[in-house]
Amino acid sequence: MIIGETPPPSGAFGVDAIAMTMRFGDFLALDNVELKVRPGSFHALLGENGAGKSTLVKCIMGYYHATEGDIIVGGREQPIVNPKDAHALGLGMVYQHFTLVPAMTVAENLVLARDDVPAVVNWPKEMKALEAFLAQMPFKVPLGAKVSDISAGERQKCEILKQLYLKRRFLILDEPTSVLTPAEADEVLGMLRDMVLKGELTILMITHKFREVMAFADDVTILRRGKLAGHGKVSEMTPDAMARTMIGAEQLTVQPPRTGEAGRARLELKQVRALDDAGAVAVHDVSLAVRAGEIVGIAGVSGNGQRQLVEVLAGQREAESGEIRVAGDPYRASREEMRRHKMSLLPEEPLKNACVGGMSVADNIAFREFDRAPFASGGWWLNRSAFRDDARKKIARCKIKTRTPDTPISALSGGNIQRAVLARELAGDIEVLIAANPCFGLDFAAVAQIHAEIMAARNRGAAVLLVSEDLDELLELSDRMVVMFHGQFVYEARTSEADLTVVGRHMAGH
Amino acid sequence: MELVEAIILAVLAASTPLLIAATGELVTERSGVLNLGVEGMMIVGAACGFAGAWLTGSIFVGALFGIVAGTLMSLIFALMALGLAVNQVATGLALTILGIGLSGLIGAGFVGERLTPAAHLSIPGLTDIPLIGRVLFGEDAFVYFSIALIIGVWWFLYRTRAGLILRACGDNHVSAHALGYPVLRIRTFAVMFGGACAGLAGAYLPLAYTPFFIPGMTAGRGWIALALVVFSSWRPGRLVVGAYLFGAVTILQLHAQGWGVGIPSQFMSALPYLATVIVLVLLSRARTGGSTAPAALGTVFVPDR
Repeated sequence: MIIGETPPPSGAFGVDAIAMTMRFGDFLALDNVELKVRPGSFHALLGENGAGKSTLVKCIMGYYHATEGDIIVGGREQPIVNPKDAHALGLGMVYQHFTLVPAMTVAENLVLARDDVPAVVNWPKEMKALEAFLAQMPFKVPLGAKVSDISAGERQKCEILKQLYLKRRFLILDEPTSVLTPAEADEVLGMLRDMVLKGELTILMITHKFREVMAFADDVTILRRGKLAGHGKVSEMTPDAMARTMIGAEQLTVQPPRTGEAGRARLELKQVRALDDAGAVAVHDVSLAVRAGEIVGIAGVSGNGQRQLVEVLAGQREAESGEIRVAGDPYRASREEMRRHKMSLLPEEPLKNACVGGMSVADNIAFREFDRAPFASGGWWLNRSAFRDDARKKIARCKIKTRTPDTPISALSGGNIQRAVLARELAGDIEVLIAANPCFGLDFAAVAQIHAEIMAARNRGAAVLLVSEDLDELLELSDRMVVMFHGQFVYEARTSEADLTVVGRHMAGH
Repeated sequence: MELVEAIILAVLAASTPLLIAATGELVTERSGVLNLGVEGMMIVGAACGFAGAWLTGSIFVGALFGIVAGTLMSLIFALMALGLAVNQVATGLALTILGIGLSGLIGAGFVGERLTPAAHLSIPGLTDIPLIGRVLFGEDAFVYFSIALIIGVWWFLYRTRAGLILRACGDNHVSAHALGYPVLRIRTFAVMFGGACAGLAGAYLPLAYTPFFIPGMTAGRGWIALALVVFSSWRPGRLVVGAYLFGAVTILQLHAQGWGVGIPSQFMSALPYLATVIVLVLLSRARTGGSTAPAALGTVFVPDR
């Protein structure tokens, strides 16, 4: 710190953003937005994808320079030119994507983040200081472990601890719980809430989850299309009111009621075993049958073999042993079999697992059918205009926000990429649908749309296997639930009869 | 006995340029930059080093010339690959081709000249100890320096704040940037260090190893140094072992020819690369979670501001 500058006061402080306007060329990302975060409060910032939440906090943190508007920190107007200025004022941000260096240990990552470490690091001394720091903290992390070896929940705790270690007293959390189980989310947010109540911290949290807003936040600010749509005390609002403010006039897709009875087994897994990338057994001889007109949900904490199981079903990973049958026929995940059995796949991280980022939206939408009429003649001569016509229809029907059908799909936002994959996968009749975390990181409207599509597919007689880390989603959609732990199915129940505490215990391996 | 000592001395001498060049490249790669121009920087270092020593009569000045030449070459790489975000592989290969041509131009006037090679340490009493005397106490300054260098680099990478930051740049430049570290500046320094080391390693050849300059005298040592970094799985300790192992293979190759062993010399020359391939296979088979390479190695980084 520069000598002569007043040291930041201890304890929580507030941040106000006044009349913030941010233009990117012709695009108005923020239009005269106001955000007032009271000192020592837990403030939620709600809004759909593209509503301007990230832009607003990036202006506060100094990553962007607002076209107009002022930032007031602790009652004083502050020029925040770059993130360093924000950090010096005690503002810290936890990003949606992890910023830890995976190949380093937790301790190395924490020390790396500080800018007052001596040139030669005295590790025994630093470790002692870190342990002393951790002893005062509500949550623990293994200091000596490599970041690549710890769970997502622990990484998120490390990110937050890092900010506290740097003595930041105003934390901005960008969807901090999107990688956590409900129990982990409650633990982390609960502990932060305690620190807020003690007057040590002020928190501004970007989120989609109303449950978390209701349980932990004091105040809420809602943005819609770059404008302030509403704000107030959480205690005076209902989730419905917040959702309406967030979405505005836009209609949410209504989920069709559950109808019809389950038929014959359509997707059968027998003793399927698969390895992870490091060669350890990730899926441990699992067996399961999904019947027509039924949604089977697989619950579990991330990293218990769900990903490898879905990759086997998608043909991205070879099973070591076991058998998969679809409608009685052996299934090897070839394109031909998927077409014959009318199978659809909604893998997690759609940009990585279901798209070719550099290819256009139209091409990506055509992947299932591109070598069939009307898209191709004789199986090899492609008809580009048919691609584009079909893509235009699907873009309109699924409300995919893209400039043109020829835009590379990687240029789209996460929600719109998922919509494009939905447009491709849910286009025709579906007899088997495999979905893995289909709503991860998506906004309210997109989630409602995807849930409605999945339920509609079930009602039309599809066998649906839904792998999700979101218990609420599984409870809402599935007819039957199994819990996956350490590569095995350890619990199964009809969803209507499932006991949440029992499910939670099995997820944790007890 | 005499023969064993002679072989050890020869191995040390042959290993030293590999060790110095590979140490530099290790630091460069640990910062996330893949500079394939080691051979080119080495050979320019060799030509300039010889020129410097021949013109001034000082081996030390020659070594400095080599270091400066290697650093200047690496700055060309830094300008292209970091400043202009050109593909690192293409830039590195181009740098090698440039270096080979440039060294021929610089060295053209010196072909056929001879130098007095770098002096060897001589401590009465100690240097005369049989077998180990000359190995431990009778080397030239380059050999001792190379060992000090790799120890220094190990200490730097694991015990200093700057080393921590450098490794962070190599493993996740987005994080390092988000923490406010100047990724490109750090990488530029790492590339320059790699260039300085390559230049010194090149200069070692005409200043100490063979006291004259011939075009193309690095003879692929830069490529072996690159292979060595992979072989070491980016760890300084293993790099030392690898450098002496690779040096031993080179000497073995010469002796095998001398003894008339019926192994084609081409096969022996290929051994270091073969060893690297085998190590890579073993590393990827090991169930420790795949590669140990710096995660951001060879990736282009363009700061968003």
